[in-house]
Order: sequence, then structure tokens, then C-alpha cells
Amino acid sequence: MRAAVAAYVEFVRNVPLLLLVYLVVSTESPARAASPTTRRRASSSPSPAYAGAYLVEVFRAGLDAVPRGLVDAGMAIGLTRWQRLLHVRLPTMFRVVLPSLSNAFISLFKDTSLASVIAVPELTYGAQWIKTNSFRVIEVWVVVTPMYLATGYALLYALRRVERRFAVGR
Amino acid sequence: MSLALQSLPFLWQGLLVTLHVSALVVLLSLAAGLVLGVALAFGPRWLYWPIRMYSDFLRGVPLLVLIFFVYYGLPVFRINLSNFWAAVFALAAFKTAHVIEIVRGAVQSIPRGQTDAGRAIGLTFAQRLLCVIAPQALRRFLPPWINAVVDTVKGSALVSLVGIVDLMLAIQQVIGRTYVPLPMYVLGALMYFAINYSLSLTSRRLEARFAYVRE
Repeated sequence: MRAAVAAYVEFVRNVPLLLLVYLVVSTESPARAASPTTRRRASSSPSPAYAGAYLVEVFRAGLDAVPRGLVDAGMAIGLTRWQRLLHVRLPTMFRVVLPSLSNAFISLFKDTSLASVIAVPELTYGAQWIKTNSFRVIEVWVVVTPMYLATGYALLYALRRVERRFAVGR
Repeated sequence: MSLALQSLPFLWQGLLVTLHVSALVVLLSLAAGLVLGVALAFGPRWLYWPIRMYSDFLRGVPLLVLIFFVYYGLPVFRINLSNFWAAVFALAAFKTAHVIEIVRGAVQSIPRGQTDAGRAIGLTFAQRLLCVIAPQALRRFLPPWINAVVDTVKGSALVSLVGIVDLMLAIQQVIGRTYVPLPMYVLGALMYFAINYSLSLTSRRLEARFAYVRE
């Protein structure tokens, strides 16, 4: 189990996302690959696989960061192994990993731009479509870049608020 | 299998381009990132905000959008770059922002007392930076920086989208000729994996090597 997870994490973390996107699309039959629904699904399946591999590392580090004393205290008041995991280690881990978690979400949000290369009609694809039809290159990117920035920062702001709400008391 | 062997020389050419792009980007971003990162940590206020904005802006935009912006957008300002240099500069600008943050984090993690002690024995700023802070900051800098290098190699796959025949585009051209996508993509994935995994291992070994230092 441990080896299988490690192999998955290492493979996905060390291969370009673009290649994973193409790889998943290529597993579809050509007729089905052309349909927009298939493409949208194909573009959304590598991203969880990709983000998941990063989150595995985040959670592992989070579990390691739970102070040893807390676990010992749980043992001292007679909690079983599962109770310690559920009531002591997981809640503490969740608070510890929140900042890394929000970073992972932000980069996932930026990675959605890759879906444009397999013709999913998202923001970057739309930008290129307008560009090829109107030849107004600079206007398109000047509009699209702030759109990404604004959404990214809105996301970041929301996540920071959640972080502050759950911050580990000092 | 024979197909994979036949296409190997072509993929090898692509791999060389991938490595070439990655190496240029790593060097450019390291040089710029070190200077700007130190300036961010120790520089005057009028330097702080421009660098802060540069770093936040570039890290907030998808890399793909950045590459398209440099390649398709800059010619409007009469800056005509070949697709190779457009991609290299876009990647380098993006990575510089990350290196800045890594440098800042590493340098600021050194306790204030170290700087004060250096000042007390009469070291100049350059001496304090080189002889006191840099050696200690190095071990906090290397592991995340190697992660950034892995990210660069992965990000370099995006240069295929502006028509540079790197490993990614070489794979696609072979597929375009042979119509056997899956084995070729897997082969390509393994080639990327071989480069990046060895880098990741180096990073992990360095972390273990530096673990003896107690805070």
C-alpha cells in the first residue's frame, strides 16, 4: 500500500501536467475524443490526479507536524489507535496544513489554463479564439491576465480568511 | 517496441532541446532571483514594492498565459522574439519570481542576532551577507530550489505550444506520423520522469544531509 502510493505520487509529481493531459485524452477512442464532453472530462481528470499527488505530500507533512505530546496525551487518557487518529491527529493536521492546502488550490486554479490545449472552451482557449478572429492580440491578453489575477486573488483572500479562522493558537 | 526504438533518436533531439531550454531558464532565473531576492530582504523601501509586485503578479498568472503573452503580445511593442527566446524569457521571468521568494525565505530565516553579531565585529554589509548569512541560508535554499528546477523541466513542456520541438512536441510529431499515442506518451512520461526523479532524489538527499543542524 505504502509503496503503491509512493510510486503514484513520485510518478505524477515528476511528469509534466501537459503530458498527463494528452495521455488521458489519448486513451479515448478518436471518435469519442472529438466530442466536447469527453474533452472536458478528460481535461478535468488529470488535474485531480495531479493535485492529489501534491496533497498526499502536504498531508503527510501535516501528520508529521502534529506534536508528539498530543498523541501521547491521547494515549494517556486511554484513547484507542483509531480514536487518536480521528479526534487528535486529523483535526490538528487539518489546521496545520491549511496554508499549504490553499497554495495547492491556487496553483490548481492556474493549471486549468492547460485545458485549452485540448480545446476545452475555458478562459485561455476563449482568449486565443478571440485573438485569431480579431487579431487584437494585446487587448486580449491585457484583459485575460487581470481576470486570472483577480480570480486568483479572490480565491487567495477567501482561503486566507479560512486559515485565520482555524489558525493554531499561539 | 521497435517503433519506440526507431523514434528514439528523434525523441533524443527533443530531449536535448528540453534540457537546453531548462538549463537556460534555470541559470537566468537563478541569477536574477538571487539579486532581486536579496534586494527584497535587505533593500530600501523604493525597491521593495516593485519587486513585491513583480513577484506577486507573475506568480498569480498561469505560465501558459505568460508564454502566449510574451510570444504573441510583445510584437505589438515592436519587440520581436523568436519562439525559442520568447519561451525562454517567459519561463525565466516566471521562475525568477519563485526563486525570489525562495531566497527571501531562506535569508529571512536566519536569526536577526547573526546580522547584529556581524555588525558588532565590524563586518561590512557585503561581508555579513557572504560570510555570515549566505552559508547558513544555503541549506534552506537548496531543497526548495531543486524543487523549482524540477518544476522548470516540467514547465518547459509548455514551450511545445509555441512550436519549439522539445521532447513534448517530438512525441506528438511521432504520434502524428504513427498513430500510436498511448505507448509514445508513456515513453515520454518515463523520459521526463527519469530526469526529474533524479533531481528530486538529489533534493531529498540534500535535506537529509542538512538535517544534522538543530535549530
